[in-house]
Amino acid sequence: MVTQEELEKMSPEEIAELQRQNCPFCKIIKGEIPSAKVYEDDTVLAILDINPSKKGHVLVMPKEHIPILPVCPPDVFKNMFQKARFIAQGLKKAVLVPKTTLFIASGAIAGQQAAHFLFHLVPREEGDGLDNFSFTQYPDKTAQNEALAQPLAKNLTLMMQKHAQREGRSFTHGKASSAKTPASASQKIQTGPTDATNAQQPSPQQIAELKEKKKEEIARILEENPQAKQLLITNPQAFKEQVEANETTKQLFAGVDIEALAKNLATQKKQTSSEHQMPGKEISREATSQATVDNNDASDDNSSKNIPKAQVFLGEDPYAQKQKVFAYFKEKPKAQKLLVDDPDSFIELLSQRPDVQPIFKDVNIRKLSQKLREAYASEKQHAGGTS
Amino acid sequence: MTTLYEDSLIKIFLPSRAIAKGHLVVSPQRNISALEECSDDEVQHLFYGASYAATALFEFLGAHGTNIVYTQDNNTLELNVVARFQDDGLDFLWKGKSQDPQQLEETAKNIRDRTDEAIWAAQHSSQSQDNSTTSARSSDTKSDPSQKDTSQDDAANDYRLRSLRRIP
Repeated sequence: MVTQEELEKMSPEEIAELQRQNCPFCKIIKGEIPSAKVYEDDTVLAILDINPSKKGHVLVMPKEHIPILPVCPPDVFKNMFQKARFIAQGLKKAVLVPKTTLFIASGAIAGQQAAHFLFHLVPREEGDGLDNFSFTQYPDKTAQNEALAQPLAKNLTLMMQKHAQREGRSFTHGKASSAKTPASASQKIQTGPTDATNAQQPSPQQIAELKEKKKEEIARILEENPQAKQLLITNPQAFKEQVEANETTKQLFAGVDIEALAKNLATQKKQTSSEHQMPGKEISREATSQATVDNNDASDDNSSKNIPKAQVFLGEDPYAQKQKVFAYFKEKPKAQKLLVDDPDSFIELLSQRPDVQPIFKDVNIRKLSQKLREAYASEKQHAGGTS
Repeated sequence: MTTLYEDSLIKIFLPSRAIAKGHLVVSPQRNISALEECSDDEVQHLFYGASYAATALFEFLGAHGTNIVYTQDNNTLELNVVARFQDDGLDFLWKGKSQDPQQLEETAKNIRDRTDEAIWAAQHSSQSQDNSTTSARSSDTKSDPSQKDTSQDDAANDYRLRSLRRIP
């Protein structure tokens, strides 16, 4: 067993690894501990609680070891809750109850018992004795709650807008939002330089405007990609190289003094970290969600520890790029196989196929190949583990 | 009812009867009474809203924990997000009863079958909507064997694609 001293000396990654190894739910997912499974697919598992509040008490969890909800990757998140509806439906029909209660506990004080995120689906009926879920018994604290309205509204609106940006879509279609929506919030990022190249003889005013636009865009892109920002600050040279390697970013950063930008950001960072907590934590949350997703990367040709891992999908809209690549692979599974087995041949063939090149224009092919290989390896492990 | 956030799919507001300092309700805009009636988009946005609401409570109030509870009372779909603190007088937990493993397995099988039915029905109803037929299973598969084949291929590719999608 690990002693208290040893725990204190461990890095967060080591502690996370220890958690994962000892996690009883991960063992259930792998099949090392038996369980009564109710639903299973690639990313979600639902089982019966062995210490239920009543018959049919279901626990739904992601197969990946995700300790809390905010760090859950989007596709797992979406799949989990989309399937929750069906599991609840099945539960009601099987155990013959009119209602189910969905319960999520985050934090020990709220009742979270294991460092593996899960939610409860509890079958409910009249007189079942589970009165703790009925809210009417608790004293009324509405007055205290109302005082929080303003600040919470502000923070929530910010978070939801960032969410919309990340998802690349707008949720305000057809309904006016109560808080003011800044104009840039739900728009996709467009590259400014295209405007510049089209204009014939821009007036000095237009030039100044374009410069402003460019600054805004760069700032936005850097906010969206905290790793890029990090790289820029810690190693401007490497950042420059990456920018040169990619046509769109090269255009975007043309005429921008990267060294100066790096210095500015470095001093800015020192300032914001001492200011009030909210935005800093938002960025760090984004950074963590990106980081957990990039967890399995082996770091590239960079020797320094501070250089973040290289992304697979570069370019202005990594999400759209990813969609294109996967759509292509869906149609051409042989291409995918070639990429996994022999990335060099893939790259060679790609150079001979100008029709396919645009799909892979902003893709780091070696990285993609490596990631795919790792994914298959872990899939095999999973498939081998579960019954 | 003080609205904190609204968009085309959901709304987040303060409940008319709060049980704690830090109690929010996330609810869909559509007037639906059960989770099962939500569309894919709605359900994921609903829970994202609840997740961000919980995070806001953590960060802004310094809550020690949060609970997200959906009890389907009053035939309204409301996700209650409640901030938790030490000694706040709230307790949502229950007493667990031990169950006989064989009984567990039986119940599990029962729920498994019903869940698969529910999923199948949902997938199928969207397919039959595309074909613009309202008939039951058998007639669908008879009339569209080609569609069935491609959907099987899709299923095979989907399995791999889903694992790929988990990659950044």
